[in-house]
Amino acid sequence: MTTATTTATDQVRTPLTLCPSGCRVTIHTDELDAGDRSMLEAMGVDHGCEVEICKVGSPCILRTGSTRLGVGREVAARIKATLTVSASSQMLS
Amino acid sequence: MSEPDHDQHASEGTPTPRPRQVALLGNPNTGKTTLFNRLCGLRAQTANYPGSTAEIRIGRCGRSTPPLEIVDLPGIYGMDLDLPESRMCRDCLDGRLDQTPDAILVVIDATAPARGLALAIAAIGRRLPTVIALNFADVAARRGISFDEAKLAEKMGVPVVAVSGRTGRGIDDLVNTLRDATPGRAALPRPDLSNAERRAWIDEAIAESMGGRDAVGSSRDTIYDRLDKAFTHPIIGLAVFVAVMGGLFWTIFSLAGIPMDLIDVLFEKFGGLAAAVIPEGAIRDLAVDGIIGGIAGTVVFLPQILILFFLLALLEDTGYLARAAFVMDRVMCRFGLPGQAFVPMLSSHACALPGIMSARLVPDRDDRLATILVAPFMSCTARLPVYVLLIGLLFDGSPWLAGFAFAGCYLLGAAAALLSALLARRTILPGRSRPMVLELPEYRRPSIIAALLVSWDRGLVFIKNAGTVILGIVIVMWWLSAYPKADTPDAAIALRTQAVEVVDVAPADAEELEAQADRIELEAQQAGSFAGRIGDFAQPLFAPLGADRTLTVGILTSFLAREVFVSSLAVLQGGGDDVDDEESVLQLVRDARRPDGSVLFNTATAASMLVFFVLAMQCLPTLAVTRRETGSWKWPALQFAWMTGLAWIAAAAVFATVNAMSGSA
Repeated sequence: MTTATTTATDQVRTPLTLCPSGCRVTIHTDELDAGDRSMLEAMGVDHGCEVEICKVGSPCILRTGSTRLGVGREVAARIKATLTVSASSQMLS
Repeated sequence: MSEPDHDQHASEGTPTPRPRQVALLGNPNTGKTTLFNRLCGLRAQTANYPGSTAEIRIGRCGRSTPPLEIVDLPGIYGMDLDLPESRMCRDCLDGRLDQTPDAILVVIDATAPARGLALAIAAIGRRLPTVIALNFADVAARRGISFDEAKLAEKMGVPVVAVSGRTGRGIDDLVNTLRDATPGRAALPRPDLSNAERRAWIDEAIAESMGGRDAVGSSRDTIYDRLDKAFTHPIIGLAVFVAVMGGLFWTIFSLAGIPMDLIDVLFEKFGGLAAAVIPEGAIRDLAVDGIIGGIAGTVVFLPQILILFFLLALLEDTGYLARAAFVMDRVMCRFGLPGQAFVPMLSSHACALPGIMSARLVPDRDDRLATILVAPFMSCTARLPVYVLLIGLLFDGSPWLAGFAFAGCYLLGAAAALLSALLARRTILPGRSRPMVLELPEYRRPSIIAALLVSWDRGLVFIKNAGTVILGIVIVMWWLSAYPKADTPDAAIALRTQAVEVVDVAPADAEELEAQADRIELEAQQAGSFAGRIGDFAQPLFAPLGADRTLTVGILTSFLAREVFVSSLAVLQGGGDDVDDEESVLQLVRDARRPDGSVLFNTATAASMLVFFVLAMQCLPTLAVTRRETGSWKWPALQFAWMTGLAWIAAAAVFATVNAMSGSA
């Protein structure tokens, strides 16, 4: 997990539920309430960190480092993400 | 928490060293409990704290002098979270639960250390002697992950020991290190640092001691991805879940039957032995019918409990249950319950006792309380004899309708449970459920020893409960139904006299006369007992359900345990207590009359009784277990009042509706 560098190409924030699986995204948790945000932070997903999306849907499965997290649809819809590495680039790499 | 052995003295006068108390802290799924079991083995006990539904296990590790008293705290993701388990850890470390621990042992998964190190920093900040255990060292080694314990120890300012709770590697080192641990001395990240800065510090620590964080477990694991996708898929995941749960309960029912029968036989023999040894009288009645009968009625569920917890521990260890929770969350969240609540609800179909005990799988306190409150609505096996009797009365000769009625009973119970949960979450347990964010632990081969220890621990807790609260309640209920002793009715004396007169010429007739006398005597005893008198008193309360005095006594005795209803009715209708012969009991109950000569179990009464038995809380051991799991009598009282109140209202409505329909037909 590395802190994302924001560039001109990844400014669009989309709900995590709309991101394609297999891509890497930067997480934005500022729209979550404090309780949910601190829970996610404690589990290793905090504002600005980069995660890989293993599966979208319910649950949305994220990988950060060697940890895999399942996030229910309700919370995933409130987490915003900006694409850093697309699924196709990830596959090529 | 157990009382530490302060200033205890051995019989020779040699002072016994005071145990060094060690708080075991760690993230969930770091193998904390396996490590605890490795350190303490069977020398552990479970403690509940007042006002808390969470438990802490305390064990003694005798490998060092002084011995270590290990306190296994709940797994947490962060010390400062506003969650009950985080609060409990804070309270323990600050000495608000009992004493301030002498040391902290932070367990970290060596294959994914970052989050664990964040927790370790918070623990070290408490200025207590701290030791870090890098658990799963064997797994890390298999994956080619190397770590330099000395470098990590230098960076963290506390000792670091690589261990494996499963294999026992490094345990002796760990014990010695804990014995000698002192408070940490290192420049750890300040609490006011941003998350990114703290993360960078941890990344650096890992990079220095483990070859960089990306080197730890970063390889893309496509098998896990595929398994996760399948296990959380709306259709495939559900099919797998149904198969797994079906297999689990099939195994419980298949395996538990034999030891349950054995327990029955053993207690029967033991009761017979006690009856032969103890002279006739109140003490024999108390010992045989009260104590031995009471214990037998509860301990008979022990095999189910042991097998359920063994299998659940195995399943949890594989990592599957976290995935299954998401599958069921789609359904359960509509009723204010999390996906994890499904296992306790399903277990309650076998028996509410293990069901309620397995609610520990539910992490959030309010979710857990809601689950415990409604789990007994699920139709358990003890309700089956009552369903068979009443459905037999209602749909005699219509197997299809009887089948639908059976399914309807199960559905009614489940619907009542889910709707009650929804109501509870909107009223007495308000607030949002904990967001469904779960760590999906690695798929692992389960540890049979760890599962056996969990099963043993749960069994001990149950036995302890059965030997105290449940036994006490059962004895009181037995006393109410057995005392005061009624005088033998004249009719019974006359029948016995007649039997003596004809015994030589017609022994079969004499036997029948004796049996009739026994029945009359039993009826008189039932009517004259405190329970019978309470039945007289309570009859107006059950009249809207169609119950007369006899039926009211049957209902009241069934509050001890539902299955008692059938045998009580058989006895009250003068049929003896041979409930094995279903047909004769059915006929006896079908022929039962009210004092005015009308049929007791007409359609309206049978239907209202069926609804009452589906919904009512009629199991004292369940109430006792609810009290134990919630730490207060408030919740079982509410459970009893809500379930029984709802049952009464629904049954009265059914009685009135069926009567109205019969009248208009």
